[in-house]
Amino acid sequence: MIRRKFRIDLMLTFYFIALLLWVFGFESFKGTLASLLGSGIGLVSRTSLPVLTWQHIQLVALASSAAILVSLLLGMIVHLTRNEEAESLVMKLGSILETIPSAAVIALSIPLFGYGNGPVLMALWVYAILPILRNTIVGLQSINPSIQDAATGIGMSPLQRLLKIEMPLARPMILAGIKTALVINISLATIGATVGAGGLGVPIIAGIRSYDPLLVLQGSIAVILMALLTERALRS
Amino acid sequence: MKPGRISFVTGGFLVFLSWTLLAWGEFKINRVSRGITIRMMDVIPLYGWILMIAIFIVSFWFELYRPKIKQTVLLWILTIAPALCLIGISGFVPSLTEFDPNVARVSLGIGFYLFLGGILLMVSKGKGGQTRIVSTLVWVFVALGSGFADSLGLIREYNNLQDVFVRELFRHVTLALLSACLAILPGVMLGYASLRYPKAKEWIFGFVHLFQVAPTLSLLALMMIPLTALSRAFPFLADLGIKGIGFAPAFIVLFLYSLLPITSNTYAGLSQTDPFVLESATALGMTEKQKFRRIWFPLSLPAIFAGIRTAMTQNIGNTILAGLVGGGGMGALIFLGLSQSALDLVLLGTIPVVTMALLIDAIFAILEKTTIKRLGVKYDPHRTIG
Amino acid sequence: MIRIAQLVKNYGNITALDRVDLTIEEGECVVLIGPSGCGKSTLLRSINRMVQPDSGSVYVDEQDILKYPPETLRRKIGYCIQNVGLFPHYTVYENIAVVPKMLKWSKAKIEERVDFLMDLTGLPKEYKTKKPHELSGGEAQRVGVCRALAADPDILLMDEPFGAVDPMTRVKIQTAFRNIQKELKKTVVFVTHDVEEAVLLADKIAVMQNGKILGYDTPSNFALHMEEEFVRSFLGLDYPVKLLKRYNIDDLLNQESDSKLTLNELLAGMLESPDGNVTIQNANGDKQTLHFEDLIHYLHKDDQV
Repeated sequence: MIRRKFRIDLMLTFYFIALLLWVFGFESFKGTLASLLGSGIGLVSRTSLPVLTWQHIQLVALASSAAILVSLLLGMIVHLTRNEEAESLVMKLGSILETIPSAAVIALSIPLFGYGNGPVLMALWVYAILPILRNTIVGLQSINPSIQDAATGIGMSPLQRLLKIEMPLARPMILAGIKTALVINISLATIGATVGAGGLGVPIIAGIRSYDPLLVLQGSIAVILMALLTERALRS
Repeated sequence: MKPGRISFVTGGFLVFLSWTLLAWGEFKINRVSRGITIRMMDVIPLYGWILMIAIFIVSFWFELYRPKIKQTVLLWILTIAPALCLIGISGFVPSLTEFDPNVARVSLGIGFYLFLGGILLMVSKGKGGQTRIVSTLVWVFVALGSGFADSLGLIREYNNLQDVFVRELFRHVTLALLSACLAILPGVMLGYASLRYPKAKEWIFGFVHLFQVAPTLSLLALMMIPLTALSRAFPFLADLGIKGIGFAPAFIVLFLYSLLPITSNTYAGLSQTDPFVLESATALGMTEKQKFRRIWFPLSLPAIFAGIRTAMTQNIGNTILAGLVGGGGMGALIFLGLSQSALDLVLLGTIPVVTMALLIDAIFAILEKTTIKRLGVKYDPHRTIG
Repeated sequence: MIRIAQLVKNYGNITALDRVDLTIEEGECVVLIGPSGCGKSTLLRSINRMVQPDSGSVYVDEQDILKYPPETLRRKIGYCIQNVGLFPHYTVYENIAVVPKMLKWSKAKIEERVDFLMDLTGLPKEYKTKKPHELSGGEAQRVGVCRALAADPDILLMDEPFGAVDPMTRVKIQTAFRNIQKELKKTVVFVTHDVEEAVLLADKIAVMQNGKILGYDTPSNFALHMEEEFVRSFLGLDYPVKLLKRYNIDDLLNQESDSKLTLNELLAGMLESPDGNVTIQNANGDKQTLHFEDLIHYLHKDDQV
């Protein structure tokens, strides 16, 4: 049996530790930062950074999980029905939707969900579905047909073949799609602050509006580290 | 299943849904008041309704039993439907309410959007489907601009801000496209450098990748800090317009953002050129420069165009954020609308952005196709973008 | 014309060329043949500096090729590879005209040359404006040959040029090449792993293994004086039969007729007949009977008595 060497990814650990340090230590070193920047401490957001970070994570996690569920199901169904038209329709719709700027989708979902976390979750969900769904379909499509042949020949039903053979084979592509979706969501969730949602966008927007670099840094560094961390963790 | 059936049936279902159940919009006596919900049935008189249903049923019947020329005619008729409904809706007048006809407006709701989407799906089937889609949208724009739909909230906002709208539109396009164009040369050079110096490749790609992964808003905000400091230290910069707010931080961030798609697509294009073609070029006696200029680079153009296309469409969308830092553009309208709960204003800002993004994407798609044809190159469908 | 002296090339710990010496006379077509990895392609590509040897020299017309810049050398040498490598964004005309354009030929001269070459290789004039993706494999390879010959080089290097073509077309294109070579008398170095192709096209054959040349001789001498064990087995025990394909009845009878009956076809006829004799009739109506011994005499005609 081959033992896989567990190599510690230096960058990943760095991002993780840096994020923790920043989120939990910000209060302590904000004084030094302020003097470095030459600005006063000024108005600091009412919610503490750890709480904001948690809000952000919640938004992303919620929307992404829902998206993963829907995308996988939809992708599997489309694949099982073997309907070319459905596949191309879904892909085309997806690519059109992707060209629509994400900020616009947030704005457009306000009439439906009002202000706050609602429209943001909606937009996050939609934008997470696109890469995951596309990668699921493409991943399943690109499986060597002779493998599918062999599976059917052994006596597997299409569903069994899908679950036991095809999905595992498509896993790398699907994971890549999930990675993209998560990174997009982390970025999109920052804009949510403009419509009253929580998350790390709040100090960033507040900082922009009141010309306070400290607030900007507080939110930006945290969210950038989070994005880098997630991207790195799901690489491979 | 016959091709096109799915789109047609789904579209039909959406249309049916929007007709019967959903709200097509709201009638508001002014910008901020609550609206009176409008349903389809309120807008179109009974005979109109029956006519529509009749056309609907007929087209379905044709579709299922006798798909021929007559059916295409029906689909072409359908392309005008959303435009007409738009005009119809804007003419809605509620009873028993006092209002100033110059101020009252109708805001579009989900019913209309689903109707539009449903029609688009329905007309997309069959030959000429794409043209029909475009024509439906064109009719809608015509209706909006015709002056018959002036009581739409969208048009009211536009009329209020016409000059501002045009100015910000121009700013938006300039900001988005100029920053992408400026990134072309550095992007291509970085892509070439990644190929030429494999050791540098990791660093180059890591660098440009950073800007794609980091949330745009945070980059934008961070960019403001050094720029403010710079403009305070060197006041002449502020006179030039390079300050912590305004177009400068947005431009720089958009520029950096455009680097990845161009760099990575250039790299892909260059590295995927047929090695035998390159070997022939060397063997025939071309110098490295001749080979690059005449053979290698031209053959990589489709990939490079794909990168520029991605960069531009991304930028059009991302420029919305410039509105948050004083850079203007459609984002200014959108965020203004958001802060004032004037959703028609938000719509006014969003529609041009979406249209431009789709338009640029389409233009570049055509450009790519013709280049591929002229070059006789087989191009990779897997676009390598960040 | 081409003199290769003590050429050595190593890739890591694999020896591709092991102190190779080879002399190729002007106007000769020398075929390098051997199993995969024997170094034949490496040797070929050392001549136009596509491969830089570790030591040893190559002399063209007694000039060390390292004396010129590589581009100048390559423009005087034609190069044809299996995958052809036509420039996809150039038309057939533009592909062929590449080197002449680089050498600043006049437009008229280039036009004339392209017409001549396309005629020679049997390509219709209409193909000038076609793009490579519109051509079949055989047509593309012919364009490749035209392109290699465009600037009228003295030396032509060919690396399994007909390998990617289907067998029927391959025979046609080999015959065409043989006729072109008869007319142009270029110095050709040709790499293949196909013994029959070598037999058909070569003035001399060099059999290689593990970076060494094990035998270098005319095709007929190989049939008669083969000592090296590996060479015998590589060329095949039926090599003399393969050799017969190279000659036809005109060679045997020292005449000029239109008959294209090759000697292996003649042998087949002899095998069919119970006494091994074949009677042929030429255009005048004269009959002649050929015996099996005539074939043997022909093959051994150059032997020392």
